[in-house]
Amino acid sequence: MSLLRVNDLTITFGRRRSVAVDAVSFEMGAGQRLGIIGESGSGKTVTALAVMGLLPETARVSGSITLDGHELVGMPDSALARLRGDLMSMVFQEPMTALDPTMRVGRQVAEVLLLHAGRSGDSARGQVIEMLVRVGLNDADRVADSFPHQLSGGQRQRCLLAMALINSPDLVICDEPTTALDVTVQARVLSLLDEVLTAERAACLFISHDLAVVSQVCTDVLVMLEGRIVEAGPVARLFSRPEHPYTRGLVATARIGDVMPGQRLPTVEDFYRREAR
Amino acid sequence: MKRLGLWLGAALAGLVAAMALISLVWTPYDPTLVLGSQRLQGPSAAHWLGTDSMGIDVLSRILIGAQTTIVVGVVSVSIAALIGIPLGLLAGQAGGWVDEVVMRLTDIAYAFPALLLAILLAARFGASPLTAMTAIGLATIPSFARVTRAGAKQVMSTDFVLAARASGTRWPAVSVRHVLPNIAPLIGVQASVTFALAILAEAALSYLGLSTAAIVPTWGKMLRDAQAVMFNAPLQAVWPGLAIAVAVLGFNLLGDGLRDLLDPRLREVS
Amino acid sequence: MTGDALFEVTDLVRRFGRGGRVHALDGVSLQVQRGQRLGIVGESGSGKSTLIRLMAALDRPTSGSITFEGREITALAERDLGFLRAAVQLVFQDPRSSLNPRMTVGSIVTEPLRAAHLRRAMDAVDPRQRLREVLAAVDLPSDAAERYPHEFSGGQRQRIAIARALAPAPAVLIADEPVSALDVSVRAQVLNLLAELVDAHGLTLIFVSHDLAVVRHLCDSVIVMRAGRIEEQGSAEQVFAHPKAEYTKALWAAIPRIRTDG
Repeated sequence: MSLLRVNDLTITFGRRRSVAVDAVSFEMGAGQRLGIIGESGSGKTVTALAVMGLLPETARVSGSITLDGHELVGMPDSALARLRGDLMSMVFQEPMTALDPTMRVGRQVAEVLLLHAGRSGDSARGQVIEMLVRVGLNDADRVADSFPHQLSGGQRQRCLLAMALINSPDLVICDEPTTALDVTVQARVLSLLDEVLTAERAACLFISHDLAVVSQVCTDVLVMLEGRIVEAGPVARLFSRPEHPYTRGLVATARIGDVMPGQRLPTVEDFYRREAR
Repeated sequence: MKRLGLWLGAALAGLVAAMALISLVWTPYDPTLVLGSQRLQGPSAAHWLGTDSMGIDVLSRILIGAQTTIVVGVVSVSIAALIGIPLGLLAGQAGGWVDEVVMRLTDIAYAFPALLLAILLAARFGASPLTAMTAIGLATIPSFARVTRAGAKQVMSTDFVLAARASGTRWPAVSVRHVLPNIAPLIGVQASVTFALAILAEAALSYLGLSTAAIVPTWGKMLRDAQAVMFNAPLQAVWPGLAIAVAVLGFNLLGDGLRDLLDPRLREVS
Repeated sequence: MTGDALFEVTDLVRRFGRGGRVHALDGVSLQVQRGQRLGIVGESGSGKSTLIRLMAALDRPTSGSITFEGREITALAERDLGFLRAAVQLVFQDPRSSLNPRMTVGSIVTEPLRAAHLRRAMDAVDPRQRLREVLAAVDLPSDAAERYPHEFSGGQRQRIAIARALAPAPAVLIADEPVSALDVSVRAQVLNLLAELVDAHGLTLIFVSHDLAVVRHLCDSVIVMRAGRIEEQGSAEQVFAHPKAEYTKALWAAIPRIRTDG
């Protein structure tokens, strides 16, 4: 029984009905790690937002998204809100804007817990500290009492992870969670994500434009281009035997280290020509 | 319906402007024509809004009053903008002690309500729409300065201003080429809201007798005149009151609508 | 070191905040030779952006000296900096915020040509002609000049930024994380373009990045920075093949490599 099933999902925006997502279908099993890779405008973020029910009012959604048997398309926001943070959660790219700057971090994490588990404030603190420690924040007490601006980028992203995982969701959606981080911090956060997802046995939908980053966390990958899925399969196969020309272009550009210094870098256009934009 | 506020505001504000323009060339009756035999008449086919205590057609006075309303708005906003915007630019771009000094000066100016200034000016120069407009304009300088300063600071922190400096662009050119065009929307909103405030302030001032000489009809003065006959002809107060409300509401809605229009455009969805 | 040193930075210190709490740069010294391709590597807080802003005279140091072509620039007034502005141009990281959204591409690209003190330091140039030249050099159509930045993609906007930097025919191009805000698949195009232009015009390149792989590809020498100081410097080959500092090794190890074990 698959955890998430997306069927013929089509999303358009605005009066001119520009198509952001075009008849996308895919499935995820429990505990599976699926990456969606594509460039800006490919529709990958819009797809993720559709699963969470966080699309703006101007979006028109057709098709079906079922999560653990619940049909999400057309579900009223109040019902979706009950699922968010509990059954499914999301980690965003910019930790500074995803956290309320006027609220201490510990309280923000606790808020997610209290919304869904209905626990009292006191025991919540204990769980919050425990979760912060699990995401690698050793001075969890100090962090919990801090405001977001007092923490570093990596610490903030760990807090977002804590918020996303505290209710043991079945599905965690990550939208470019490490793009804004320094490379050493990114490495640590990715390995932490891998660890925690395994421990919680949570499924993960990981969205990125960086194939190498996706491969740190995911076993399978979808490649999106202009709203459509052009290729899907296990990460290993995609790298060794990419089929679609666009995928080949992506794989080629992911390996700057393999090119001799001074030589021209391969570009996506070398493999796949698209219409002039 | 989306953007109801914006359209409604634009319609109401437009109505007031139209009234002022029309009254420049035509009014139903001469607003100075005293028809002694027809005082305090209610609305009728001949006089749509009735006549006042001197027998003058109310509708004509309302239309003429719109002129003062518009002129007051334009002059007040112009004074506030012409002085407030450069001050704000100076504070926002220069930073440091210049910023501090300008901000403290505007703080002091904030402490003087328009009413007080109007009284001071009236005492010195005699009450007239000009002193009222000047007082309101001066009193609104701080809000223009603040909005401009905030916008300027935001623009100054962008990479494109840094790039402009790397291209050798000097401060005055940075103001004109980069800061002003990018804060124009903010200024527009501020101007609209200030317009509404100016109308209200002038109405209050002319109600208090601090704004006009005897004959020129303004809505505030009409309210004052209506006060005397409030029990005989309550409608006399309704018309100018309604006119003021429509004008203030219109410009406020316009300002709010503009602000809402601009906000989502600033955010991009990818 | 003798030779054709364009930039000579000595003991540069830059502190911010009350009482100079934040030490953005803590005593940095380096040289940049004509024709060199220098990579400056570091993470946030390393001081790399502060360093290049000081070198481009967009900021003044707390102490220390910077000379360009033998002239001390730290104390010069803006009107005397024409020679520096004409010779040293920058490309910034974020293509969304480095171009004025209210100006046409043509005005953006020719802005460097409008400053009087820059023009005095340059050969006479026809702005329209130069606009056509640089747009062609970055592979953008000439009708791009009438359009606005929001009509272009991230990669194209970066090319516009590069065109602007090329307008005064500079000798030095300083690129501050020029591809970090772009999708991985778009980076190669912009990097190739930079490499081509540096070659074709014999430019000196100062390339700032946190991405070691990219720096290794483009640059012949490297400086690794951390917390306002230089951790390590040397030729690219040397620093990458045989890194001495622990921090350099950690940076190299942190680069996400394609992982297929799942």
